[in-house]
Amino acid sequence: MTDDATAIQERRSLSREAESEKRVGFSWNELKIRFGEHVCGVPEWALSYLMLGAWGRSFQHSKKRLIVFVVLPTRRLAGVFASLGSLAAGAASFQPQITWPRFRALPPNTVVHWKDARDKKRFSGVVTSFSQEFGTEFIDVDITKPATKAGVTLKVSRGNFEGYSFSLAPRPSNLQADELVTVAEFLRSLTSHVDDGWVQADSNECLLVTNSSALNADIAGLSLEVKGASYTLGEILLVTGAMSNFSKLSVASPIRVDEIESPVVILDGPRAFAAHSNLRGSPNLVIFLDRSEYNESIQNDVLSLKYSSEKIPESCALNAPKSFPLGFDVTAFVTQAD
Amino acid sequence: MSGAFFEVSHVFKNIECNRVHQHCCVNEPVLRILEGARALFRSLDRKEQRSSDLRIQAWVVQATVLNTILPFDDPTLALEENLTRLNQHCSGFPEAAEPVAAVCQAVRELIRLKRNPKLDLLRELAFEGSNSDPKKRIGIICKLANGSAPGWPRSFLQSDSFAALEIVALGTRTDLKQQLFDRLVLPCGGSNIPKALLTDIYYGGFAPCADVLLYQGERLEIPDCLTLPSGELPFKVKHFELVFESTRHAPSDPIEEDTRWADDTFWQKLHGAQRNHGHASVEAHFVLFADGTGCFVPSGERAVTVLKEAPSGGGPRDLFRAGVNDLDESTLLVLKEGGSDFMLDEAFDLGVGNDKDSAQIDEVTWWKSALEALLVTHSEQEVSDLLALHGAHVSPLTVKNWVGAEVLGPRAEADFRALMNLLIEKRKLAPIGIDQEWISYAWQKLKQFRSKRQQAGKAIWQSLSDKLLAQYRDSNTAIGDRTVVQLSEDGSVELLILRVEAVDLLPSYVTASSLFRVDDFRGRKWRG
Repeated sequence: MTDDATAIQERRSLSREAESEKRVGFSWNELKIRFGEHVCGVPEWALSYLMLGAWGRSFQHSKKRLIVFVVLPTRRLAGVFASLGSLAAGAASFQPQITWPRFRALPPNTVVHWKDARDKKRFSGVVTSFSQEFGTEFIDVDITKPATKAGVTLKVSRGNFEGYSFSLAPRPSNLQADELVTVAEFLRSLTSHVDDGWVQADSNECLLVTNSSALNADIAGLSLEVKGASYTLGEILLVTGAMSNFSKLSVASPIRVDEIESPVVILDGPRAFAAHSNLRGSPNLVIFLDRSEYNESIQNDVLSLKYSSEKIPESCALNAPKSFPLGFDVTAFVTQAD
Repeated sequence: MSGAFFEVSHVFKNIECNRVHQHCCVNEPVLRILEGARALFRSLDRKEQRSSDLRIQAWVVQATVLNTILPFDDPTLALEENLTRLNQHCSGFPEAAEPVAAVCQAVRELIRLKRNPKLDLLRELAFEGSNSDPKKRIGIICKLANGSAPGWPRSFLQSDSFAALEIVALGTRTDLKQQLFDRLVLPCGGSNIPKALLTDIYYGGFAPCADVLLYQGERLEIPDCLTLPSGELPFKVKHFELVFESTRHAPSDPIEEDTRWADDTFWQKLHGAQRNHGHASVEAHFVLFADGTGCFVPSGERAVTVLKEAPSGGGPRDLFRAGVNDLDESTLLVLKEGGSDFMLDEAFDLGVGNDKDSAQIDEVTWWKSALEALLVTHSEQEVSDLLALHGAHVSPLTVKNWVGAEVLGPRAEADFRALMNLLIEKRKLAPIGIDQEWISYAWQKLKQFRSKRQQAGKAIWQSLSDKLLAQYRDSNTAIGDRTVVQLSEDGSVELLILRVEAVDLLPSYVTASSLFRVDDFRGRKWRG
């Protein structure tokens, strides 16, 4: 690895850890839940799910991953509220740049803009080609601005991609963006940290691996109220459009988990847990299991994970929920990312 | 209204006051039955096959008395017939004569008395509940053992006398999970109730109180509550504990009669497979289907294909892969007619696995012969221990699987590296030309090939799913206990959809060719 590449890796690591360290407060106590004629505050169990989901999303480290196991009397709705927590944490920690998978999929001649992390200079250019050399992916970008650099080809590898903060020109609003505006409006009622660019960005905040028909049945008729406004849980989680390119929350069945890359994956149940080895990349994991589903076989997996775990970084421990209601059994490990 | 939100809130409320109320009946004849049965079990040699029928028959009599809420003279219990059989099996065992006579005498006293104290208690509970709140829901567990539980004839559950109790009969875990209750009643100590169901009863929060009807001397079975190992972070987790209450008097000297063997014997009588690992055998579990057939399925988290049933009133059906632990009573299992793990076979039939692939398998598993050589001088346990020194924590069984043809090799890069380094260290691989970079290259090749096989599996999965679901999705067509589905015009691909009745959770060890082979067990005596 060259000195430059090492420096970029270190910077990337530092910037991610800095993101993790940025504690984002949510006014969850202002949130009300409506089901039918009944309205109530967020119960302690739901609050714990929100915080676990937020924690899973907020800790991001290039070389480490967080894995949280939660055993419960029932895991119904656990994935729903944890996803909401991840969504909120993702929006709050958003930095306006595009992700590698999206960057890789850009057609030739797409105009992109970036800022070099070293000297903070701004550039524009067009994507020309994608190549793979010695097992490493490269994207070639022809610089168009500034004029002094025009015509120079920049070879961007996955390893040094994050040192450039790439972004696309703002896209015209479409239906998906309109829906996300509603989501952003809801989240801004709970925290002031949601960047305008989050709506337009293609960042995926969370992948929920679960039985989607059970999920839809469970959230039917459930609404969230904050500061006088009411939102259905369906419109906040955008479950119906979950598989589209711009969705913030993706929902997948255990057999389709390898199609989506996400910073945190919520595995709802033993079937979802069994699919963890097929996940793309090394995302953080939050695993929910019913007490009768947590058996000796899964316990062996947890134990072997414990043996290979590392010291939990302070930045990670900082955002961890501290206590849980009766019935929750929780443990967490940090391991090396693959 | 979101039923889910309401129900989950109640589950956590129920957990706050999780109680087990033991209602203990003092009944002298029952105590004598328990003591007589205990003396009988002690006097017989468990390893002797000849005594097996006698032991089972004694267990049936004892379990019928302990489980039932019917009057003891109810003809559907067939207690007299069972006593006759018990006496028949007793011949040739002089040491059993005395305890059998004691059991028979006590049972006949119960038949003469007719009255069942557990029925009286149950009526009291039902009455107490409806008196204080007419809307109170009481559920009673009637899945008291695998197969047909002695003492709970199916005809009784459909009878008017049971309907009059206004209690919900819970025969499966699915029944239990469909609603919340104010009381859950267990009519016995639960020593033969499947563990997953017991865990749901005591730790699932489906009711704030579990009422257990016990006789003095009857053992109360509470499953261990497995807890997660602690991590580095000191979470404040409140481990909930069951609060025990009792009315009448709790048994002061419970008889430590281990009746687990009865459940094991039931399965052994049914499938007769080895419980110990033998040469060229694979770990499997026996699944009994509702139509009386059964088969072995391999252990593993995604070993079988399950058809999710349409909810009542129609709706989409779906297919997914599941493990034995996911199988529940009434789960629909999809098997290929004629046996075999159809996923991979079909994928290779489709041409994904051609000669080129066979060559590739050799190319990515060349190290297996070196591991095989290592296992000549070291046991699997020793190799597992040595790998741990290289940072790979794998079980001896995993090491054994790596050598076999059914597994490509380690799934994690760290394990692969540790294995290669160990083989080099033990001089089973020549170190010349093999460095860390080369190991990385070999790992990438293995990973790519595995990915290709998975894609092949997915392709056939998708194809079969589409064909099967095209026939059944969104339709209200009922799927019977055994439904045959033709997936090709020439009938060469035929799938069976079978409804699960019970699963033997203890592993057996069978040959690979026995897996997924459906046999007819309808004639077996202990089928129930």
